[in-house]
Amino acid sequence: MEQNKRRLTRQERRTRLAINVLTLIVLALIVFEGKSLISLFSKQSVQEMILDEEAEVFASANIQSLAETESETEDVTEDTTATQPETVQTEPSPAQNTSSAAIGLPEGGDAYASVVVPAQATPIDESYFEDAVFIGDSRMEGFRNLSGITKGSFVTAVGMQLENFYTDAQIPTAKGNVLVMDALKNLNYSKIYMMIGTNELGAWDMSQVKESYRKVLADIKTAAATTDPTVYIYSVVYVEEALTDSDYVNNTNVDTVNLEILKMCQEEGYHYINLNEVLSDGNHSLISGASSDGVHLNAKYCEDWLSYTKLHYLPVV
Amino acid sequence: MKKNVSLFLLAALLVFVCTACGSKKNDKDITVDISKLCEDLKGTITSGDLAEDSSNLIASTYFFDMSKIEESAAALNSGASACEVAVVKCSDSSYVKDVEELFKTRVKNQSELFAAYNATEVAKLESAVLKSAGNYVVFCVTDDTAKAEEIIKNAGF
Repeated sequence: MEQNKRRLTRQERRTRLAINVLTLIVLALIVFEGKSLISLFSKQSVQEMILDEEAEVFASANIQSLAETESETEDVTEDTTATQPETVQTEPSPAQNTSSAAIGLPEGGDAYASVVVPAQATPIDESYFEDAVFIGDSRMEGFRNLSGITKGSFVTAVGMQLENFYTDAQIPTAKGNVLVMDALKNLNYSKIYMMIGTNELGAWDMSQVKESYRKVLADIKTAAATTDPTVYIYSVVYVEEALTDSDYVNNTNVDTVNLEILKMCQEEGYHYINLNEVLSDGNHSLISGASSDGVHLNAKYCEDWLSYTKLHYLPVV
Repeated sequence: MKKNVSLFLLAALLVFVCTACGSKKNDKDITVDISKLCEDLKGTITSGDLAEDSSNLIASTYFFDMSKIEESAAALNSGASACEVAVVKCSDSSYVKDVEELFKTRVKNQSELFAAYNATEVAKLESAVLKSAGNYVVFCVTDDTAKAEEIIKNAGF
């Protein structure tokens, strides 16, 4: 008893103080870490968590399906009478193309007028895009964001190039970026709208761009829901050279790459949508004021792009 | 023994205070005019055109479970820059954390893409403003971060 009551030595006091501080730290850790452990075990088992995460990754590859989210979140009243039952893969007649080919096609482009999609008398209803996938670079992303389009799936990314198509994870999902082809796996499409080429304007050999484009499209077709999807290729839209900050981003190169794309369309039976008919100033350049940086279109011109797309489709039965 | 009890009580108090601090932000009871806040934040963006977007586009951009979102507004851009604005009100406070995480993922994804494409935009993404209060979450990648933060603060965040 006497021993217990004796005054503690300095060494003992130090030891007790250290023990008390340690106890304090341990208590704090137990409380904070305990909260994490409780949330971990109370919600679901580890296996369930892994399965959930796997499901989320696959679900999020569907990220840009406007059609699906639309049906859940919007109460849309559409003119369903305009819905087209099935497209017919008919080549537009040269006579139909005469007027549209005059504006926006590159020098020598008239020779490929048969692949240029002609204007129809009435615009297509947006339900036409329900089974469509729109693939492209930042310009296509701008179209998605600013045009007001409500249907279709979008697989777009700033900086998308044919060169990095198979190598760079560039399509955003809830779990990070994925490859374009992986994003396409979870989509159900039978129409392909594609615009790529602006990031290729600095290529040394434009014919090589055509070959890369051909390969990429063949793979995209393979991933489609039908064996013979309709393929629409947008022209690369002109730029406003005075506003661009790169020498090779110029309209001579735009014309060169578009001529290669026209050739590919003819060789592969794809359909060329000559956007430059409505977006050019008539002199092989983007309409002045259509873009703040000379490349990416402002909202009004994205709306024009959508209107043009609705008017330029393959005739249906 | 007395000392030990005191220390234990002190630890308990510390934990209580810390926990209280952590939840304070989301316990705020505020009402936000989402469209107005989105419009005001758009005013801090000078690079490229932006347009107000529909809820379906918001869902496919940020991967929200829209059944857990009561109200939303966003302005996405022409592709010229990384700038964008999104304001959402969750149906339940339990979804706020998930929304915050999805916005963080958006920043990460965009940063990776812009790093190879337009590196100057990465700095804007690094300064992205992400705030939450009550059931609201606001996200803004802007040309004027200070101004955006001021607007968000004035909105009650």
